Amino acid sequence: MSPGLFIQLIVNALTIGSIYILMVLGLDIILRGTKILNFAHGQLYMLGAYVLLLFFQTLNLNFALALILSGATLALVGALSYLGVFAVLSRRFTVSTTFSYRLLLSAMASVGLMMILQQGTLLCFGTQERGILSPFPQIIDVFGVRISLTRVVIIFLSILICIGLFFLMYKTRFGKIMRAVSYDPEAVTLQGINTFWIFVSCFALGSALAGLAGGIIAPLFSVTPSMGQNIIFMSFLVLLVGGIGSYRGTIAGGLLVGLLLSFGFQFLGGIAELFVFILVIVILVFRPGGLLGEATE
Amino acid sequence: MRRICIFMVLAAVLAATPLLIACNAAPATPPAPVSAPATEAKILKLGCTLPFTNSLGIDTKKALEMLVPAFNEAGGLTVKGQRYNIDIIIYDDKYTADGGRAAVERLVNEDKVNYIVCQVGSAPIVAGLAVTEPAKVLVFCGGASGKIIAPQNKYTYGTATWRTNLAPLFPLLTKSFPNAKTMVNLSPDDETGKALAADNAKVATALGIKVLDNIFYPRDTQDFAPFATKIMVLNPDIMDYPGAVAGTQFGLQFKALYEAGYKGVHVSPMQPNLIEVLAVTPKESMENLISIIPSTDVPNPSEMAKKYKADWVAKYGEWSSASLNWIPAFYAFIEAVKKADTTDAEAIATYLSANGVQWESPNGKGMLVKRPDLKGDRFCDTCASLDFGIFKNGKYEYLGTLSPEESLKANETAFGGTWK
Amino acid sequence: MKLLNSSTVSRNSRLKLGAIIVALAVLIILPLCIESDYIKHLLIMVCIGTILGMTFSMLYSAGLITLGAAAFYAVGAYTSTMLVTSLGLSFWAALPLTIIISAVLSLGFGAIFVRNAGVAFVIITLIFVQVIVIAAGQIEFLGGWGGIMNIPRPDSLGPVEFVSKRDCYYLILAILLLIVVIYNAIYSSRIGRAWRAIKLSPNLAGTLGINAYRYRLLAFVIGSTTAALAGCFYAHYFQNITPGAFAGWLSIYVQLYAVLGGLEFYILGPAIGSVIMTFVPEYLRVVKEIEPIITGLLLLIIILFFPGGILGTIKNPPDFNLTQLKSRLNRMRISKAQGDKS
Repeated sequence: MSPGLFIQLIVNALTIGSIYILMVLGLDIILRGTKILNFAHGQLYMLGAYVLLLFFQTLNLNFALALILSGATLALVGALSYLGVFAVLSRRFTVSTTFSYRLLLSAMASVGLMMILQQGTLLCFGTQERGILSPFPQIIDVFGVRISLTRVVIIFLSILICIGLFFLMYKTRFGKIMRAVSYDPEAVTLQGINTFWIFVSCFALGSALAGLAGGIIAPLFSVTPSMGQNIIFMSFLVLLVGGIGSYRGTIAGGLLVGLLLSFGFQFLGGIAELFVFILVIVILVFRPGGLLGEATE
Repeated sequence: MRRICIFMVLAAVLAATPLLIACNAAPATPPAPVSAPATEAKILKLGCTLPFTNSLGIDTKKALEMLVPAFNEAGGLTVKGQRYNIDIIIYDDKYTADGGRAAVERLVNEDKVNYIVCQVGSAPIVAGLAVTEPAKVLVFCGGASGKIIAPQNKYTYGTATWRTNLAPLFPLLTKSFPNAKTMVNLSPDDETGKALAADNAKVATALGIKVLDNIFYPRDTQDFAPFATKIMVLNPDIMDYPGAVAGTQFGLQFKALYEAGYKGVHVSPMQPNLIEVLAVTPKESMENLISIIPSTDVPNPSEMAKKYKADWVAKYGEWSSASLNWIPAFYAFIEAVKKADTTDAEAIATYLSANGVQWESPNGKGMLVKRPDLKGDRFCDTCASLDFGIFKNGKYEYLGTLSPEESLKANETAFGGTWK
Repeated sequence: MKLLNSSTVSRNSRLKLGAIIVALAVLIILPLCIESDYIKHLLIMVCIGTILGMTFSMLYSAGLITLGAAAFYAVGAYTSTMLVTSLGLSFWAALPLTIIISAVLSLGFGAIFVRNAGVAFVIITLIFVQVIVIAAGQIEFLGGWGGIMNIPRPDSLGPVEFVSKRDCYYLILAILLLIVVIYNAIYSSRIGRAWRAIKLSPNLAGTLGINAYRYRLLAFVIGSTTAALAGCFYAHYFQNITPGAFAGWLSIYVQLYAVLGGLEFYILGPAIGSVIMTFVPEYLRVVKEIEPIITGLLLLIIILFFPGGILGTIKNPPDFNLTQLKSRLNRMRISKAQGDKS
């Protein structure tokens, strides 16, 4: 294998991996903060791409501005769906509600939300498949290694978003409360903090991350009504590989799956996906909690 | 007591729901009066299942909703002196086997449809065959899967050209680019992709082109960079895309190859949906693509094609050519009924399987052919007139048109046997 | 006192027996009253959905949430198809063989999967479905992505030929009733009680000497084998199978059946849910494009406002507490009037 090919495969792996990481960080924040396994996450990702399309292509805004706006819009959509659906649902739960019942009902509610978002987007934007022409069409050509600038920008933006997220989670009071809520909401309530709005922010933050992932990927991939259904399986898989509740694990899992897919397609062909799935199951046999997570009930 | 109530509710719900539906459905289909005077038009019910979630399905639905009323206004169908108006019932098949099966079950058993036309997806069509074949329902459909026209299916006809346009395409390619000698197939990892890739390899090898590799990608792939990287290692002269979906996914393939530095020829037996393809990829990436082009875009389109495009623009505004590949099924059905001069599905099938039929649609002329290479001795597949174009300097240039007979000859040479 | 009690019990059980007989009679007579083959097809799909929903409920009763109902449904369909088409076995020989093969397979996979509980188990089962689907698509021997066509109908049993929809309905009804009887027996046995204890608290159950892992594995094996049985019937009824038919959201629909009908009703719940989710979209066919939105809204309304499902709501009608509402309205009126005055 030539060094050029190796670099190219690494860049491919980083691009797809960074999108998985953004998606899964969102899923994880929602899952740990609000105890919701969010099946509508793929639809939020799709919606993010469509919102970016609207701002960037129809309203001719700057790409960075359009991206920020799509993140903000999705945060709003997330907050509204939490207030409209999950907040009402969580009023039904009491201390004696079993964990599996909570998980199941909130997952099913998110399936309902998914159906509505999916078909709603389809009706609003039509069945035609869309896309945007990349604002960074240049190709970086160094010694015969060709790398599209779009990919570099995507990797860079993902790193930026991750750094911003970690700053928020670890350096601000708000982030500390959020992390505390994911461990023990009762204890946080006892500190005199209104956890309700923390739950709302968790869901909004997770949705915004999905929206940003969808927005970032729009110049690289196409924007279609089915894009959300395809990515959600992979996101769940990365969530498991990395381990639920570990940011480092999520990043390691996203990169690992990205590398496996990139190198797998090169050397095994289309069947690589199946190998990745089987490998994940094998990993889970030996480490039930994922690579860096802890096995929890 | 509560348990008992629940049992009663279950029984009541189970009993009431189907009966209610049966009652609902009953008045919708008044029996046609048997002793109607010959001048009064009878109704001929056609069924159709389409995916309502992608533009292929929606465009074909729009096309049928435009064509059928116009056909009835123009005098409808006359068989043995009796006039028939056509009524079309379209259901959503969700592009899946289960959705297609449910929709076909409803068409055949509830709406009592005897003919189904213009389906697009292979999965719903194949799932529906288990219903339509025993019920002797005539099916004219578009899917690319070879299983549709398998010998055991007596009432099903493929009216799309996906299976027969490879053989005419490649001689054109070698004529335009005589120095292109190596090829890579990039196709989706499904039944259609695999079957078409094998056919392509066969046709290309016969013309002296070396097939370097057949690469398959998972059906929903959006990231083609890994495949483009792999292809650039092989560095072929020709890229072929058998079985690719015509929308943005096609565009993403061009884009990935363009970014990887591919400069050779592209060839595709599919007709790219330009609006969707160019939404994701720059025009430069499609340079030197030889493919089928819509028959409305040739220098001198037929009257039918011109009228179709004008009617479409008048009714729906923006023009979209995606439906052109699927509507020939409707015209084939009309011609078949006229030629067989009966509305009895079994008699039409007997006539068609022995004699074939020819038709003209906005997509050009077409005819049914035999497929001896697939062990079938009945007329079941389609050869149609094909318009070819090459993408140069940001737009399609017209290359030429082949008649159905020429297409038939090219296929006979490539696959062997007598197709007529 | 004792005498009175026992008479009430016997009267109750007699009434229950009566209700069961009525329900059975309705189920048996139903296809004779209905002309349309299409409705019969839907009834058959309802029965298959009920069986799959019941397997979900069984795992749920042990505190496991599975999204993998479709996996062993597919395994059953493919195993039976291969036994019949490749080895030339009769349907009735393939049926027990399919059950044995899928029981062994589910024991092997279950031993790995059940080690995880909670969210991890949910996602592993979801991925497992994808693995099965992709594997079936990749293996040419299993027909590849195009699947297998022309699978024979179940062989005739004496005078009964399983060609008409009516006979197929009776076959699946018989399978369904058999499963109901078996499940009912399991739920009221020691095993069922152990499952409920594990669901409430695995740790507490452990202190009582219940091995949560083994009991959950048992639930997984029974559930998976039942799903395989449904898949076996599905393949021979549909007469063609494709990997795509088992992919994606089928398993999620199966959960919907259980949640809609009522999670605490392990047998009737899935039945009611399956009837609703099969027939309601049929009514909604008139609204075409917005059908998924209405179905989604309906689902949300039931989950948010009737969390016990439909049966749970019938059993314990929600306490809307009209008096409280009235007093609140009154208070609002008073405060508004006061606001007007000031």
